[in-house]
Formats: sequence, structure tokens, C-alpha cells
Amino acid sequence: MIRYVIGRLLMLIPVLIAVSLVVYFIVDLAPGDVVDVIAPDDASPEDKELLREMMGLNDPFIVRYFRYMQGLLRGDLGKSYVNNRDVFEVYFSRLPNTLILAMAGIFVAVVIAVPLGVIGAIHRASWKDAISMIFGLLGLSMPNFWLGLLLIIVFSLKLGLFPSYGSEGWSSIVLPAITIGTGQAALIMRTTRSSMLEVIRQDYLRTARAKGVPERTVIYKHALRNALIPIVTVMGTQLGVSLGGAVFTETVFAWPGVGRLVVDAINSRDIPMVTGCLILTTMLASFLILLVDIAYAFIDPRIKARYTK
Amino acid sequence: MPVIQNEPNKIAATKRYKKRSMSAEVWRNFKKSKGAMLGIIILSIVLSACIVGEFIYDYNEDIVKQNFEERLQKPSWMHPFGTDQYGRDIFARILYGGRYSFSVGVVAMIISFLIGSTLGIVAGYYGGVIENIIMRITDVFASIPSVLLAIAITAAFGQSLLVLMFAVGLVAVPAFCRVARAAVLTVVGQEYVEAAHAAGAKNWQILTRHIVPNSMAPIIVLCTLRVAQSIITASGLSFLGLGVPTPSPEWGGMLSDGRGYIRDYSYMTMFPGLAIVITVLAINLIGDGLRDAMDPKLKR
Repeated sequence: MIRYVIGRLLMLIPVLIAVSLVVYFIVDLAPGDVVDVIAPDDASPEDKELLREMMGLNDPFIVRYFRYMQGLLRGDLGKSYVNNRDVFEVYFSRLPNTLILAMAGIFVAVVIAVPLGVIGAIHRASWKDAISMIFGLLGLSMPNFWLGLLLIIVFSLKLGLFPSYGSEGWSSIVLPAITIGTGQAALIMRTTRSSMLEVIRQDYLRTARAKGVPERTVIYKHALRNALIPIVTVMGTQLGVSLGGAVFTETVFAWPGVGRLVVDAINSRDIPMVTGCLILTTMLASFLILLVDIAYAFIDPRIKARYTK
Repeated sequence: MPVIQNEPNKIAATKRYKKRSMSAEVWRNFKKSKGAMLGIIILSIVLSACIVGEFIYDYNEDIVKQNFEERLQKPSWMHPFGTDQYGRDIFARILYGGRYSFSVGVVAMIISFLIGSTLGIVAGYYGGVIENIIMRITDVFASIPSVLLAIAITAAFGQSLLVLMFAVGLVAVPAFCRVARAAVLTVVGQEYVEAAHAAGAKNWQILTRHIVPNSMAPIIVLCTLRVAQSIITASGLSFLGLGVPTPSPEWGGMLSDGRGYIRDYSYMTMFPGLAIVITVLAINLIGDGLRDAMDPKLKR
């Protein structure tokens, strides 16, 4: 088991290197550089060129990339062009907010989606199923930044129940969590439904019923447990996606997370901050997805058996 | 009388040998889906409204011209969706804005379809080293959260409609690549492909005659669903200020404009959002219907 986990972690390394190369390359294409930002207005083009040379900005792409990756290993991703703060520090000071939001979102999603999906599968082609399918379609079709604005209009401006922005106190997370959770709930619901439908006609369920196991136990213990693998996969990828996808929700609710940081950095052309945020978020997302992969081994004895020999 | 006697046999014979083409079969199943038909009706209404809007509104006169005497008017007969902070009619702007959403949705889908499914088909058909290289590169791009990748691309190349299409299209390439490869893998082992090889057909002939037509179904479904997703992503980028530059009336950008007036003029955020939801919902309905029609096995 430990060998399996270590093996998977090692396999992640080349992916992370490739991902950082891609992100670094894309951001590097952006026009303009730090010299245009920090040089005084009366600096001559020669002075600027000299400054570029001194800062190593004229080095070939691959040299700069290696220098950047060396920095990454030391926890040094440079300083923000805008406020001179350390990118690494700022990122990790914002990250907990995004993680809390992502967790809360996935919690909302699972609480809504799994029961709906199970009900839809059990009462297939009935009105209950229709309701859960309509919910799924709406959730997929609604951009979450719009849902967030609607929730603000209804629950904070009209009813005054929850704050419309910020991250103070538990009540401020309710609306962002619902916003981020609804879209994910739609996906998880559809996966739960189809996965349950696959399981529900299996012989062992009939056996369980024949033995006199109560229907509730049959559904939740025998059926749902066996339908769990695809559901957990979707949950995991959604958790990874929500690290990046939280950009919209964080913007709508002025939530001080990583997504907001990226958007602010892009709007102020803060290249070290953009690069750092993108690379770190991508690495985290890959890592999360890997964790989910490893978690299968714990859920599914069949997978565990393959690796414990 | 012999003619009449022969009739029943004739009918029986034609019935037995009547073959439906793949597309006729799909259409027959598709027509049965109420959701998909509803989707088609909604989408045609939205599309035709946008096309009519193209003709009756003038970009400079009705869409971007500021008119401070009429600013922030609530919905009325004159302005069915009200006016925005510059006194521009929101109804006209939404109809005109449809062109951005639809064009980005369709062009982005075509970009990801062309790149993604070509790579996927090549990977699935040739296998080996080629497949490994293509799929590992796909893995790398797939592991970058798609919204962030699109943001990075728009940040690198600047704001324009073309960049937006490219960015939204590129993030879906891995999805197309994976689906196409999986579809090809199910076809490539079939006997008729082997037979074609044995008959001396060349690779490109097998690809275009047998592989591509037979692995198209899941790719077409993905195409529909991607148009819907692309519309959401594109309007999201505009919402963040990274998509279609103002003052063009893109739906996401209009939503973002409305945010500042959300307390007293919530209709400004209401209508552009509804436009996105209705359009995307219609396309998703069609996509779901297509999926069920193309693969009855998948229907649940």
C-alpha cells in the first residue's frame, strides 16, 4: 500500500514539471515586463535595457525557467511588482480561504446531490426522477457568477439574512458555498444517478432483499457503497476544479481567496504573482486529484488487493 | 387479379429489407425526446430573436450610444428590460450580444473539435509511442484548471473576441482528445477494420471510411455540450473583464456592469443572466437528447 502511494507521488513529478513549463511559457508570452512598471518615467530606453540585462530578463527562456523552478523549490517565487510582497507568502496566506470555500462547496454539493441522485435512480422515470433531472440540467446551465448575484439579491439585499461580501464569521460563507456547490451538485447528481442505475439491477441486491434486509439498508449499504467509485471521482475532480473555478464565486462575493488574487494580479499586470498563483494552484489541483485516486484504494477492496501483494 | 395478390408480399419484402441509415435512426430516436424538442424550440426562438436584433438595431445608434436622459429606467413598454447606467436599452443589447455568445460557443467548439479529435483519433488508431506522447501532453493540459488556463491565455494575448474563442476552445482540447481516442479504440479492433487491412486498404482510407464515421457519435454529443459550456466560460471571462472588451454588449460583461447597481436596479443583472441560462439550457437539452438518441445503451 505504501509502495503504491509513493509510486503514485513519484509519477506526479514529471506532470508537475511539464505543467509549470506550460504555464510559465504562456504567461511569458504576455507583452510588457517589470522594467516598464518599475522604471521611472524619464528612463531612457538604454537605461531600461541595462536594467533588463541586470535582472536577467534577457536570458533565454529556458534559463529563466530553470532559475524560476530553483526558486520554487526554495519557496521563493519572486516579489509582486505591485506591492513588493513575497508571492509565495501571499499565496499561502490566501489559500486557506479558498480551501475552506472549496470544502464548504463540496459539502453543499454532496448533501444535495447524492440523495437526489439516489432518489432519481430508485424512482426511475417518475416525477421524482424528473425533478432531480431538471435540477441537474439547471445546475449545469447556470453560470455560478449569476447564481451568486441572484443569491445576493434575494438573501442579503431583500431578506438581509446573510452578508453579501467578505469572509467574517460563519454566515458569510453560506452564500458562496451554495453558489459554488450548486454547479458541482448537478454533476455529482447525474453521476450518482447513472452509477446507481448500473448497480441497482445487480443480483446481490436481489439476494439481500430475499434475505429480508430492509430496503433502506439495501439501497444505502449495498447499492450506494458499490456505486461510490464514479461519485468519488467526480467529487475529487470537482474539488480540484473548484480551486480554479472559485475565481467567479470569489469575485462575486469579494472572498479573499486565491482566485481573487489571480484576477487582481492579471488586472494590474503583476506577472510574478500571476505565474506563481497559476503554477501553485495547478500543482495543488493535480495533488488533490491524486489524493482522490489514492483514496479509491481505501474505498474499493478490489483495487487494494491489486497493490498489497 | 394477380397484381393485387402480389401486393402483400411486396410490402412484406420491403419491410424486411428496409434499412435506415445511421442518421435517420438517430433522428427517429431524437424526435421522441420531449426535452430535446423543447431545447430546439427555445434555441430557435433565441436565435431568431438575435438575428432579428441584428437587422433592427444599429450598433452605433442603439447599442453603444449613451443617452443620459434615459439612464437606469426600470422595465417598461418602451424598454422591456429597462435601461443601463448609460441609458442604453438592455433588451436591444441582449439581442445584439447574442452574436458574441453564439459565435464564441460555436467557434471555440470547432477549434477544440478539430485539434482534440484529430489528436485523439491519431492516438487511438496508431497506438504505441505516438499515443503515449499525445496522451501524456493531454494529461498535462487537462491538469491545469480550465478556467485558469483560459485566464492565462487571455492575459498573455490581450483582450479580443478572437483570443477569447481560442482560449475557450483550447481548454476543451483534452476532453475531445480523450473521448475521440476512447471511441476509436472501440472501433479499431472490429473485424471490418481487420478485413479492410486484409483487403489492402491504406491507413488513410481505413481512417476516413471506417474509423472516423463509426466513432463520431460520442464526439458529436460532446460538441453540443461543449458549445453550452463554452458560452458559460466565455461569459465568465467577460464577467471578469477578460473577454469581449467593453462597450460591446457581451452577456457576461453586461452582468458585470450590473453588479454596481445591484441594490436598486437588480434587473440589470437579471436579464443578461437569464439570457445565458436559457440559451445554455436549450443547448444542454439538445445535447442530452442527442446522447440518448445516438446510443440507446447509454439511455438511463
